[in-house]
Amino acid sequence: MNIEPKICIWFTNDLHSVSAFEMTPQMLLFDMIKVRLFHAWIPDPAQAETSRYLQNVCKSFNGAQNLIVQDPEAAFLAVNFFEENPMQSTPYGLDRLADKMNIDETAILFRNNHFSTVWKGWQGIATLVTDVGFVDEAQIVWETLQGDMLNGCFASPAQER
Amino acid sequence: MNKESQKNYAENIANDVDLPSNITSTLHVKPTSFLDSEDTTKPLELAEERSAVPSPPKPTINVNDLMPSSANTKEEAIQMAEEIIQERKLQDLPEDRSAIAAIADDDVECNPKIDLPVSKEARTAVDYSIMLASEVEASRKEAARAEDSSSQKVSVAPAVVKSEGTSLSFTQEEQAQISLTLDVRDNASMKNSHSNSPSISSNAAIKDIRFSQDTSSVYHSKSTAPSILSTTAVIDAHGLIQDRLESPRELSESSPKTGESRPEEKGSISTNGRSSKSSQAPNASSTSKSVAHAQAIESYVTKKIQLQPSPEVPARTLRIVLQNENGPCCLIAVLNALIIKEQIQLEEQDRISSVTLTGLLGDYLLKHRPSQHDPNWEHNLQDLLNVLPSIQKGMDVNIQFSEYEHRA
Repeated sequence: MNIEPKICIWFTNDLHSVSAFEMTPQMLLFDMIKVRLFHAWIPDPAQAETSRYLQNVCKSFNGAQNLIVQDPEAAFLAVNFFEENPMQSTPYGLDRLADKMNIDETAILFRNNHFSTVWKGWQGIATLVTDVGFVDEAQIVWETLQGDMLNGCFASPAQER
Repeated sequence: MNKESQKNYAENIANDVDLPSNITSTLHVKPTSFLDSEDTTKPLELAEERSAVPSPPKPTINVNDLMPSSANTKEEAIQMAEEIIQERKLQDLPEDRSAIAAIADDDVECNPKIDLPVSKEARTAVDYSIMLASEVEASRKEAARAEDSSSQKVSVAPAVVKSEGTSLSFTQEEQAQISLTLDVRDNASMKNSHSNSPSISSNAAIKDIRFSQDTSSVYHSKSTAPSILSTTAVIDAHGLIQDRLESPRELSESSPKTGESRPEEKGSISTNGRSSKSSQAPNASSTSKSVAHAQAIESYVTKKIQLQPSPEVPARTLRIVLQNENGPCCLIAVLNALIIKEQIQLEEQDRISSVTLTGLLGDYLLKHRPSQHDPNWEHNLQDLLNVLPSIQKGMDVNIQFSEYEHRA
């Protein structure tokens, strides 16, 4: 009998969304060109206290910042979360991102106060290298989320050999 | 945009997401790094952005002040208006001229302020051009500033500013028209991106626009304040609107175009083509000089890459935009995403100007206008075009932690 994995999921916590941004007119850009915008800055549900605090009390990045400004000690959970993840992404968030993106999807990832073009292939997610310093490096096209530089054939299963 | 509405908007957002209303911090993504805090750009820029294309508030003559109470005849009224203009030492404000023209043309039914029907498509095109123009204006100011420092070219900057001042005090319709000129002049390379596309001239939207422009140019020549600049704008604006309105729907009614010849040259060369067209205008050559300067400032390096997602598909060669230290990372990321999806393509050039970049995005949006009229889509497009200039400066994001989802 084929047991659907989602049956088990019902017993775990719901998941933070990696595509939840406050809707502003600027966000229409992504809607209208049909390219999804993601972030990976979500707490691991294993850190239940932080997770709940961010969800129910802070509600958003701005909300968290506001609470921290008002009383850093009371908002210590948020302070710790931001300090532990200064790159605006968590390992858990990156996992969720990999779940959420489809194979061969091109999207935008918000991380470290920067927007980058990301693409998901068979091997995982890579960001497009757009640093002007690599203008003459034809063989450097992608950078994995772990920081490895790859050429334009990234994610081809044949490359795994 | 005005502070008040900005504040209101912020409050609305705050209420929507059920946050304390005294939110002060916004995650503002700067083109460079986030440690760089010199820029205090507003957190949100909205619809009002468009009106930033601005007309300085200046005293104008109201037709009603002159007619019929204080003057007995039309000639008398015109005379009075002329005198008032002289007294106030106004520099031939178009509004004043239009007041005179309104009196003069009262019974000939040639009121320049007549509200001409302009279709939605045309409006969008005009708004889009205004948006581009405001952006060009910003980079031009930068150029003017840069040129101020070199004493040799000091005379260039005031000339440019003056021609802008003139255009900005026009009525709304004319403002759009002038903005179109600025846009066309400055968007030389963007035009090139269309050089292979069929051109259109005979759809309703364009007719409407043309009509209104013809009327206002007539009015200009009547009102003894002929503006060569705006006449040129009439010619140039057509080409731009035609470019802007390319969409499947409109292609079906396309017909051979006359009048406007497209420059075959690549990139900045067509800026020269533009200056020859507008050479009657006294400041034209200096304008295009500073424009070329502005483009040199705001341009990004491109890079050719080979992509082969899997061995089954042939490798593709694409040209992507690279990020320099001041580049708008959001816009560049979006453009590159569209390039990888092969929705848009860059010219084979080593650099691309920021104006061309925005232009490509605008073209993409207009090309993907739903074939069935969709008010919602049109509304979104309008909203987006209004904030596009602000996106160039930096994007504001607020990550929501409160939103949870079930795994599908």
